[in-house]
Amino acid sequence: MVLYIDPGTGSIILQGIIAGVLGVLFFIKGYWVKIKRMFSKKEDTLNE
Amino acid sequence: MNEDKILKSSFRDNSGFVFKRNNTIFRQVNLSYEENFKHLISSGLYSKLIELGLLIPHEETQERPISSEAFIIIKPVEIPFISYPYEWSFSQLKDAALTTLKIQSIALDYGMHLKDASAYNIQFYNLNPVLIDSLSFEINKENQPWEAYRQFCQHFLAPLVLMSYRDVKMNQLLRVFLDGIPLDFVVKLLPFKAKFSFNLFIHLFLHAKMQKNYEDKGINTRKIKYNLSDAKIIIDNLRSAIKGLEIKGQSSEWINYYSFSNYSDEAFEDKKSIVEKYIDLVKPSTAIDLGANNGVFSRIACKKGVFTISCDYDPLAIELNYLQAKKTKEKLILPLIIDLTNPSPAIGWDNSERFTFNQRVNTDIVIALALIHHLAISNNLPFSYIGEYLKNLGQYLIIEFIPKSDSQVKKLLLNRKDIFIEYSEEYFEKEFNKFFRIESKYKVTQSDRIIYLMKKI
Repeated sequence: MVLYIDPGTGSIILQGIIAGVLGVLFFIKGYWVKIKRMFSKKEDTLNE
Repeated sequence: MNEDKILKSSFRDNSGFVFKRNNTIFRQVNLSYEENFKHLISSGLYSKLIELGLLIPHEETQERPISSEAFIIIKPVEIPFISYPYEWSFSQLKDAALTTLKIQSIALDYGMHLKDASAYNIQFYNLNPVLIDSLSFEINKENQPWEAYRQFCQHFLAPLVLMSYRDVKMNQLLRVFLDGIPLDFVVKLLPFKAKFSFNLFIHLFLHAKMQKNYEDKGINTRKIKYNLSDAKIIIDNLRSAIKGLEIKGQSSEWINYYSFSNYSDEAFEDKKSIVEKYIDLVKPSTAIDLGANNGVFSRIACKKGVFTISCDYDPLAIELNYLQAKKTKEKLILPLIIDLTNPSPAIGWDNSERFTFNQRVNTDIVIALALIHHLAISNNLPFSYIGEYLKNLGQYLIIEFIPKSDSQVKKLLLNRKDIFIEYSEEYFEKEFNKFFRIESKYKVTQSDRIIYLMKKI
């Protein structure tokens, strides 16, 4: 990389870590939403 | 003939620079930036950002280049007043931060990103934060994390978190630290509870630690796996970190100023109408209101189509002023935190990267209401010093003189010896006559206050 500002080695590595960790959270969040949707569907059928 | 002046505010980036020719601002785009510049235009990113009002528009010109490295000279739309982040209130800085993230997010969709995230690249234009550096975009490369991430945290996140968790006055640290507040310093100033916020923990505490750990180490960037969705995740996370910040519960002595003022509604209305009359007489196109509080009098000028810089030294008064302007969609007001007794200095290399407040102000009319007693009595300033200073800010002056008989002045003298023997209407006029000619004088009804219209001599 040829950059005119110093990005900072720590700042670069940290972004890799954040992306990794948050990526996993995003993945879980996706499932969580699906599960919630399943329950809300059930509730809907119960209400009917 | 050759009166081109290269502005030192843009020397860091070799993609180009800003210069002034015949009082017009131009930007030279260098050959080294040609590919990126062409991509900015051809990808449609430029049009998208202009459409959303996020980038300052420019036109391509045939102007003579400054140096042989030139690819093209562009002429950006001129911003009426360049302000700096230490002059912005909490919400102004917050909006500037969110604008930067929005631009970065959109740029990613067009195969580009922001190569810098300096708060100085954002200016308020028609009250909206816009990016003024058209050379900030770079074509994405594979596996490249955001190189401006650290700068973003130092310029935006850090001061906002300090303002939110400690005190709104913390933005003044930006005056000292030109490239944003160093993160190792920020974490020392934050309370322990800030660590319990996941976002702040990673972007500030962990970030500071990582910086320290890798201080002198290089990095093989090929080892990093990083793609577009990762970049989006980080922007999204920074956005929610910033959106969640608030300054609830902080108060100031000036916020209720008008509800506790010592004069009647009639006097207040009378004062408003004489100010309006004076503005009609002068017909200015630009104004500066000093000690504007929440901007009641600035708005009289704005409503007449006058671009008005509305200054006060109280950061919360400026916050209210800005929020109100946003709510009512006022375009001609620019609220700024300015302490007149110690206005913004010139900072950076050779003291010429960022200009002083006085260097930047050149208006048609200066409005200074309920201010003279604070300067002359609280700050012990001689009338002649005040007159000499105000003369340099504009052609005309609307100024209010508040005599010693006024309860506000009495309050200022309550706990101190009255050494201000010469504080009188006659002496005020005598001293101001050295710099101004009094055009009109009006005594406000039901009060001892006098409003003058003066013209610079």
